[in-house]
Amino acid sequence: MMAMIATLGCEGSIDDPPGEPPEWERDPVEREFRPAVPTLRRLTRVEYEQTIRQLFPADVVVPSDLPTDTILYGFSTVGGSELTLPPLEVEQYEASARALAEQVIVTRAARDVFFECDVAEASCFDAFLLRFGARAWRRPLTRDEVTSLASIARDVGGLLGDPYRGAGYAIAAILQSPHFLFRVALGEPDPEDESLLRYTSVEMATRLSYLLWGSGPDEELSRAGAAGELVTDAGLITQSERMLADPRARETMLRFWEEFVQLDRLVSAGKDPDLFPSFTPSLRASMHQEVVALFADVYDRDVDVRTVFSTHRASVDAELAAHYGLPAPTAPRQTVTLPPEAERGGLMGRAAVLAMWAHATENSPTFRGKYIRTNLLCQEIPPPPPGVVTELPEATGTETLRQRLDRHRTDPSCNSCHVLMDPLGFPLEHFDPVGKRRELDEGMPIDATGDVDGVAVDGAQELGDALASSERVGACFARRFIRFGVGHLESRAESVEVGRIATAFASSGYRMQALIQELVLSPMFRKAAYPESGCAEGDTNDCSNACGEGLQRCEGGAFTACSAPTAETETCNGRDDDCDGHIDEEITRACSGECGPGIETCVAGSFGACSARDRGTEECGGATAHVDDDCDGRVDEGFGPQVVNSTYTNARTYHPRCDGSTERIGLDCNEAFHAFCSTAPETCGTSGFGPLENSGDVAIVACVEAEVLVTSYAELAVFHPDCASTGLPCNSAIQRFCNDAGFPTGYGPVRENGAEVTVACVPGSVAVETTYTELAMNHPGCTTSAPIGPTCNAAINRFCRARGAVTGFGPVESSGNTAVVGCVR
Amino acid sequence: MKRKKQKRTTVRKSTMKRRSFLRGVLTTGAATTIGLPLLDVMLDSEGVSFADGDPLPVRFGVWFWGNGVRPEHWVPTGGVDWAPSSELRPLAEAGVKDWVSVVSGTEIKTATHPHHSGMAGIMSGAHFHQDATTRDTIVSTFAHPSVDQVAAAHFEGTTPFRSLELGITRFRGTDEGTTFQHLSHNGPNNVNPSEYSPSRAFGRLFDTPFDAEIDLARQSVLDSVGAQIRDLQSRVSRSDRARLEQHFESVRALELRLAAGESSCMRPANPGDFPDVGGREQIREQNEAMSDLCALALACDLTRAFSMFFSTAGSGVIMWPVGASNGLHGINHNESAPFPIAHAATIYTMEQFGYFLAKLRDTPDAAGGNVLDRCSILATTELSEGRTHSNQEFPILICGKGGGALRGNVHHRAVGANASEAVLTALRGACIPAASFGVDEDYLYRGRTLFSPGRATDGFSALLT
Repeated sequence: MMAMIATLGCEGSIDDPPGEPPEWERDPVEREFRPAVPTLRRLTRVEYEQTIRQLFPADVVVPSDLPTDTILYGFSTVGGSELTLPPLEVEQYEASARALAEQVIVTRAARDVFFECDVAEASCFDAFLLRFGARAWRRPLTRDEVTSLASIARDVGGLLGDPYRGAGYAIAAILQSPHFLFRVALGEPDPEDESLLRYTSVEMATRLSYLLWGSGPDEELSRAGAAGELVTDAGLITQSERMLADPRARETMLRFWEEFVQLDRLVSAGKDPDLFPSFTPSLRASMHQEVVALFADVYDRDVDVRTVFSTHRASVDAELAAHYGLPAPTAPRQTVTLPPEAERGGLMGRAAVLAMWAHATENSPTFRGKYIRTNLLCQEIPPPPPGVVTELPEATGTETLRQRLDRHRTDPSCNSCHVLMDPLGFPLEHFDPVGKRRELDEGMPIDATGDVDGVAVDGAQELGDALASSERVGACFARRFIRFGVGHLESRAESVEVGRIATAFASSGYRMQALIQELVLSPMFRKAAYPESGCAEGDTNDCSNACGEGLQRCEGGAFTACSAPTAETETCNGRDDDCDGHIDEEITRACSGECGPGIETCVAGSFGACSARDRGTEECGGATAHVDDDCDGRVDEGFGPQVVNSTYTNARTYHPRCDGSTERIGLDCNEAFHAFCSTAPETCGTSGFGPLENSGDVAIVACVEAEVLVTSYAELAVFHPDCASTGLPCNSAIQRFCNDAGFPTGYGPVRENGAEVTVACVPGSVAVETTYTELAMNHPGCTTSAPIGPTCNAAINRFCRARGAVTGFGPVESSGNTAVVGCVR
Repeated sequence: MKRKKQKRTTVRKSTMKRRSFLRGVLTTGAATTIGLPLLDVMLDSEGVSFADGDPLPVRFGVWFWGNGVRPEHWVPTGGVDWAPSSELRPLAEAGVKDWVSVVSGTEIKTATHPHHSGMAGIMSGAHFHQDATTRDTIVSTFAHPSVDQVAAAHFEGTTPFRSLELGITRFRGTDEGTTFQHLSHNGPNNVNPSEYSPSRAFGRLFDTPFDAEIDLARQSVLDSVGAQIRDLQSRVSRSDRARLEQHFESVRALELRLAAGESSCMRPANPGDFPDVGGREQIREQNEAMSDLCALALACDLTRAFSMFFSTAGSGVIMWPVGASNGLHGINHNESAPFPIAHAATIYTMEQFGYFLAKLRDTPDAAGGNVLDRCSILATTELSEGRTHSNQEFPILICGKGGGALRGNVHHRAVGANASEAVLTALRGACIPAASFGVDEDYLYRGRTLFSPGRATDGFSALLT
């Protein structure tokens, strides 16, 4: 059941009806050739990857999260000329650029290889930018461009304290530039025809290298481009012959072939796993490889490309050989000759193609025929208008699929389109939806007769032979290759040149090398029309900006310079220098106060006060809380420790789980009390702990002046191997960690964030050794059987207070009856 | 052993138009991990707006599936508190019917080619755009922005992501242009591709380490890239100028996000990815992972405009959970009455949509209530049914309460009305003051000039409060 297309009003709207010459041969209107306007061509995914590999050392890994091509009119290259860069793809390219840059600066060895000198020296780095930038942007950089990139490296290097990291950001900038992601070719006036542009010699180097190699120019091609050799036939022939001998050209042509056959569809072709259990991923991959090898064979021998439709050669591995009913090959992958009784013919009878153009459970002569009609013959089948019932007659159970389709075509409105597809697909009926040979359909013998534009054929081999001798197939193939190469849909104004190339291709015996050479020398590849933006003579354009009125006039196809005031870099002068309607926006400069660096922000032509503070007297309360007012490196010294009567109602605003019922003590409350003591206007100090005592909503908290340090459980485990969360082992680990850092005691964790663990070391404290016997006298619940928790918090608080301290925490160490606590004074 | 001092949050120059969410965080002085996406402390005393007076977010979304429904099983009976049809029953069973209004009877007024017209018609209120230089194949794109981008433009500057596009089942269509492959458009061939990898979506939304210095360095790079684009724009053709304009906007969007500083949001676990098992797409698992990410992104106010692309226009998705072996598009063409697989596929699709709505309902919102209460979601497809490929009796759901703007649970029948009216209703349901949606235009199609009356200026007041 595959009545994909049925329609009313089909006739009369087909571009190239069967049996008539192609459009470019019969359209009397557009006889004069006119090339397309220059278009920015985005690198396709493969082009991006290959260009990166060319620019970076071999061991650099190209990130895999890259934009996916949108195929338009059959080719990724056309999508690349039409689509732009949405936010998602800019993010992907940004992440990729940074990851690539990181790889060349990460080690000393990598740096030396990549930069060849010390980037901290301006002369070294400028030389690097000129060299690398020219390869990445496929043209020499201007002085301004070098200056701008160098300033990124300098500024960022200063910010991050490492000139190589600065250099990395300059590299990332090069790789995110429109000059890298797009192939920019604007053309120059054509000396042979002043109504046209031609691509410059430097631009032609890029066009040629992406056409043939899918990557940027190499040194020799860049040299030829710079030397002006690529605006001449001789120069193009010399370079393209050299490049075609390189394996990269073969890879690119095989990629064209994969897109021509639409082999990407094989990956998403779903087959019913119960009906076709042999259709495994490895078989799929082998099928793919076979179809690529078909074209590789005619390409390598440079014979008539149409041979792919009739050839008996097949590249198989054991799995595919079994699928085809062939003896197992003697090598993992082998080229064999299909026996005549296989009756597969070439491309159309190969498993990959048969599987792509079939349903998951059954065949589709309509899909297969449609593929031949539209992609091999370049003829159009229009879609059904809305509301047409496309349903096939119900299966009777006593007829083949073909017979059902034949009944469908007795309806004239269906027949007008199905007659264009089904008879091209019927000859493939001997092959099931995964391309296996079959003799019966629904238990009945198969009728594999059909016709190729009036030539009767029976079976896949005859179909293949008919395609392989068809002039139309050859012309269509040329047309598709041209589309792939120029990256746009061939226009009517180009059709005369498309026809000329197709004819030359035919005269060459349909050899691929000849087709490539024809395109390289063709004005379709070398010339361009003035862009419409361009303008009609005398047109005007309003280019006013915030600084004033502006007008441009069209002269010679281009607008003159804008008469509006020129936008300049915004400076702090009370004027809208950059003409964006905002005065002195976003201008800051560094400054310093007695307490360190700060910034000044420009307001109405002058810089405001420095955000850095001047030295004052240490105070605590309101705005001066938690601030080092006297710049001595200590915060709120002299104001702590404090014991604060607080509540869980309050604590909950600092951590939602520390609400007195979900949690009363533990990591989240540690975080809440720490945050309360280090941020609330009514507290002093930089950290806090608790509850010292708690009852109902009441939670008494201690705020202290502590050194807050960020560490990790991995690091704390060095001090106590069992430290992984709150509890005695971490109390010990943190105590020893703080000792190691020069502090008498410490507590925590006061916060966890990913791998980061925050702890507090307390300078004004003392570690006091005691026993649980003594602690139990302060609170009976604190014993060796409950050595940590709210009752011990209370016991330790009371114990320390009894010794003249403000409060205390712990136990920071414990062993048997012995406990060490931290008392804060 | 290396130790670092605890980082202090530094406030840098503000460049977003309105950064209510982030500003709220900064006023607490605690730009750190927080248990709930939006904190009460960021709100005013009544909890109805941000502390600085900015209104709380209402979001607009699209949930799209391809190939239509079975109309005889789709259209419900009744008006207010409609009685579910069999294909809408999954939404009742998911317990979200109170949030779902149904619009039936409308049609795409710009129909010429079913899939293309349906997709461009419902999403942009206009005829599709076909490359004028050829009749070589049916390849089309959108001439005008899709409705999610209309909403994104309205919300622009309020959230770190201008819009979010997530895909559930992968593209299994034909090479017929962006209309077939993408949902979100900003104009011809200017698309926002959907993210199909849950782990990559997670990374983009939630796994973004914040480092003030690194982010400043990245901004300086983006700034220079933006300047290069601007410079190049003056030298290229008009159409390339438009392409570069989008490139510039995209660069600027990332720059602004970095400038806004750290977002404060609960980080979920990485959901991982769901490769095919035995050749079968893990549709339910993928839908759940994407739904969960979307719900949290909305709760965190990372974006206010989104699209969930369950399947593409004319999708060949194999709905194996309901026993389908072939692609849905082919089945729709070929299945005979009573169309059991097309029917079961629609029910299955609504079960997936039900999961998404229930997830939003179960996700608390800072404003009180839940995220679904503060969403307006247009759920629709590109055909009424696959068999005839009709663009009449268009299936449309408008879901959520729009922060009080949408009534919910109403069936409104409007036979022959322009489907754009329903889209406009959904926009207004998200408190977007759109005067109209869609375009009236003369359009050249296959050599004939057509009048495409896609524009609607009235919504359906029955659905609004």
